Amino acid sequence: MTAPGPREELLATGELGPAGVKLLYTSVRQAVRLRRLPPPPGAPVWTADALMEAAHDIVASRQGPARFAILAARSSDEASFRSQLFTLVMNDLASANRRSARGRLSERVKDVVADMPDVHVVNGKVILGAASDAPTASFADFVAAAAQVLVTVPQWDDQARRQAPVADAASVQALVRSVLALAPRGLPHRDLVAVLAHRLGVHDAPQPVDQDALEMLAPSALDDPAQVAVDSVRGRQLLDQLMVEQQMVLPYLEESVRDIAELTGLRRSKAWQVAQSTRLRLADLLADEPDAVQVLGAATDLARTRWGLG
Amino acid sequence: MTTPHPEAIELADFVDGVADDVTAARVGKHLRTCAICAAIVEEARLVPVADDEPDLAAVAQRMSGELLPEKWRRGLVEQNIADPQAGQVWRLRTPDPFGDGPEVTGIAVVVTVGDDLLVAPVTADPQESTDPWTVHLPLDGAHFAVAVWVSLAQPVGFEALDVYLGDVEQAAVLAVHRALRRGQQPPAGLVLGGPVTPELREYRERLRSHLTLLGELRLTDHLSEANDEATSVDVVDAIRAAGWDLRRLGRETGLHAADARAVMNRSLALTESQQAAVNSALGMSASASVVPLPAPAFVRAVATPWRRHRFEKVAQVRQSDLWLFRAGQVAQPMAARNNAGEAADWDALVEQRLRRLEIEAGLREP
Repeated sequence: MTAPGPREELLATGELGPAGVKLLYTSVRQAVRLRRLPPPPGAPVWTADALMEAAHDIVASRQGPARFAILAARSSDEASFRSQLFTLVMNDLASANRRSARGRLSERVKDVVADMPDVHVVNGKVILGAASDAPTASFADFVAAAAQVLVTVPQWDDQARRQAPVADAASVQALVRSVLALAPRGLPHRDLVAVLAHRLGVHDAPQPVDQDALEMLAPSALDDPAQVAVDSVRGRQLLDQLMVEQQMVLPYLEESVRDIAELTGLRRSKAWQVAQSTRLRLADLLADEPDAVQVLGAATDLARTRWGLG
Repeated sequence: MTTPHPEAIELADFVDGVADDVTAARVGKHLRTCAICAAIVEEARLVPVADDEPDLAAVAQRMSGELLPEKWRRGLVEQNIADPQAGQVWRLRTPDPFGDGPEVTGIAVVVTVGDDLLVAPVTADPQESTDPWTVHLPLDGAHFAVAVWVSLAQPVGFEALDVYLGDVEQAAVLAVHRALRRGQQPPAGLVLGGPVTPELREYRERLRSHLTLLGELRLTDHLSEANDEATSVDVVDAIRAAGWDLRRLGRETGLHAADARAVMNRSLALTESQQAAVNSALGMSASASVVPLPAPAFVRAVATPWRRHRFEKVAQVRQSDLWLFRAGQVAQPMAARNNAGEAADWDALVEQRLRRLEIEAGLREP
């Protein structure tokens, strides 16, 4: 009798079984290698423990259950499940790699706020108690209020694989209450995080959007050769705002889907999707461009050169 | 000729040396002509990664816990179906419309039900990764919320519906859709996404085009193919080849000159008796020039999700293409005494045919 596959296990029990755990671990190892992701801080290589930790984080993340539910539903057999899980893992690791300290703080605040019975999220705003129409204080006032809160940083083993939190849960709760007390109408989550980031010295911004697998095909950006012609410079700027696959189809937007697929090596359905998104993107980027035709022409020439296209 | 880039997972398997023989040969051949993929493989082999496996039992212990809600899980296993209604979450599934890729699947919420369905894609993205018209709603019976991208709602056919997975709050979806359509502000009291950044715009366009793929292919797209298979000579071509003028066509069919001209311009189809008269006069069997669309209620009776999996089981037994077999049912005209063209009539006729097919396939007792 054949052992059940990862998808079958998941559908049978609602949990990852032994085959699912093994597949997840393997996917992480393969994704790390294929995307050349750096090992965790302080580690010279990706050890088995580091890989295991990364796999665990994917399942344990706030979106973990929803992502696995959609993964199970979108796949129709073990092969498509494996392929989609691999894409999920690759995107997640790349995203985590880019996610900054501020991104982590944002996630932390969400988790902490979820456990505060007196704090609610209404219409995208975080509100303490009942909302009122009283005026909201300024950013400086928020920061000043947060500065009055004593922050406790928990003791942390410097050998631990996970990074130390910037404050313990009680401190974060106290900070949230002190800030929201000055915002009777509530604060958008990102504004709340901005204040706490200021207070806790966490400054950079998160980039949580998924990447497409083909991004890995990108060579390092070319140095700016100080183009003399303005159109050429603008063309380069335009090109750099397109994703790799969009750059590849740029010279062929007037061609049939069959031709685009053949010329770029993309599957036809993928070629159609990319061409569609590229046209929409160009319409948006060139909306206010007085020399749209010339700029587009320059970008197309650059794309041909950059990707060695005919 | 350029060979398609391998999928990322195929490259990963190739690097690990675990790709099957066919895939390994195809990837190897591609690498000889594609410097980009060759560089990826070469660099991947240099990344220092542990090859030993940890104690997976211990890992499994840490990862234990329910990921799939019970209703969702049972829906997938039992291939649940329902009468489509706003607020329902469905899996959509169609073949690749361009015929060179795997099946296209997606998860979407029904926004409105009409001749087509208006559906909005569903993702697991967090609030900060979605746009201002994406409403985050808890799924019934689940401990998590899903993101419903109302701004990306598009029509799809009933034939794309595959599995009914659950429900989100119908009123919330409709309220956001109504406000968007009327150019109003998003309704208050809902958890919505944030402003659109360039990165988010890219991602959103990918979601949009993926959903478009699911609405692209319809069962009626194959009517002309089925017709072409039945007969190969077009009646208008045959009439022209025979050197008939409009008067001769009128004489054989009883058509007025204007209608005869419309037939020759392929804007009007001959009736069955007119077609028979022409065939008789020409001494051959020619096919109708204009492929008439079947009655919408008939198409709906075939396309309904209630019959999808049953048609597919019959197709599996017959070793036919699952989609084309169903499309073939739409292309086969149906007639019966007392059929007044009502939806219930078509429903009964299609059900009769499906039962007969199931009996022939050994899936049902006679």
